[in-house]
Amino acid sequence: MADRGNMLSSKKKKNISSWRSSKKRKRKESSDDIAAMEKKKHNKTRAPNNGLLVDQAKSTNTEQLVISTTNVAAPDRSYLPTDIVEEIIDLLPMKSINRFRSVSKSLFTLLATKFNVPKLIYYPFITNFSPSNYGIKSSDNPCRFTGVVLSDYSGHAKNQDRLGCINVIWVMKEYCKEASWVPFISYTESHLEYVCDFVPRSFRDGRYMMLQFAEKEIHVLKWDNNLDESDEAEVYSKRIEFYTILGNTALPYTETVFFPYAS
Amino acid sequence: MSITTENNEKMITLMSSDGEEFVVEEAVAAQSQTIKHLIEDGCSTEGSIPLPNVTGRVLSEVIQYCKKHSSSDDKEEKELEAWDAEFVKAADDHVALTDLMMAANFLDIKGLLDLVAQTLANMITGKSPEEVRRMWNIKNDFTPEEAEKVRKENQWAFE
Repeated sequence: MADRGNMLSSKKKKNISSWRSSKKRKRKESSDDIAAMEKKKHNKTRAPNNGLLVDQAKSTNTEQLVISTTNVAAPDRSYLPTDIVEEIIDLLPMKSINRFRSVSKSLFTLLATKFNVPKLIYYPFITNFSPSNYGIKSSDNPCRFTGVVLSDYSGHAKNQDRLGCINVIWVMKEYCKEASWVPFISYTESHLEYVCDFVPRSFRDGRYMMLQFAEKEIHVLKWDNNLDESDEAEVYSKRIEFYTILGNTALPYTETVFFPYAS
Repeated sequence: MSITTENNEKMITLMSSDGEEFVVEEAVAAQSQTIKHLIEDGCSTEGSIPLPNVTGRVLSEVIQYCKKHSSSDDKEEKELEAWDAEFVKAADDHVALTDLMMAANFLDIKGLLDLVAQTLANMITGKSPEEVRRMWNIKNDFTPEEAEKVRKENQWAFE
């Protein structure tokens, strides 16, 4: 799995650029009914413009994306710009996103760069840490988190009772793939460093930890003084304007527990 | 070309890729950040503003949207929402919506971009990969083995 992850990231750039430039901007002859539909719309939308609308028959030198009024574009949208595609997939639930990974290679790569990044990382209850580490996974929406485990760097969880003792956060790089657990962030009391290459920015400040995955997406984790079983961790996700509290008796978005390093 | 109407509203002429000209109030055109910047840079003083990426058909729809949204104030939010819903409904299929979205992206009209993106997202949420391919003529370039692998890894999303 690690190999696959590397392969993906090295391919990233190439595939994205080919996504952009892939198809030539082809235009096909339209069927009559589309033309008719278009005409109808035209009339409808023109009416309120009254005399202000000046219609000109002359063509301009716009060689790129010319669609004449009689030559309507066929639905060839395989050259859809990446930013347009991203606008749409940002609004989709995780389930649709995972299903659409199999649409095409370029879409697979795009989704891999966007959504294999863990969306939320936290396991708040470390007093009961067992030798096999735990991770949590959210339900489909709205958090989309992949999974997390706190442990020491070797992957062996200690029976820690303070969060400060935890120095590595593990995540599942691929949704639901136990084999894809990787060390994510390593930190000590004094500093924090990334073990993985896919975290743009993150910092830890006192008892808050903020993780930023993309421009729009910020998760803030907050915990109380002494983390024991009665404590709750608060998770704030800026992207989805959603605030929730994960507690040991109430983990509302947790449905599965993974054992990434089963002994 | 700058014309001024009776009520002193400055007019802007926009030219679509297929040479159709639209004369609109500056406030309407300035809903588009792209056009707004062009106006600020003085590009509207001589002749019309060419929009080589937008056809007349799409541009007329965009202008409809901009007119509505420049004339409504906050009080009419509910009404505006209903209008938006009707507006995307009238665009009637994903091809028209995709054209509209590309225009909104090029013209940088955030409200319209968000509106159309949401409409398209709602449209495809429950669709199968094959349906999505058909919608945008996307070629399935996976080998059968690769396709099976990707599908297996995301099995839960197909259930």
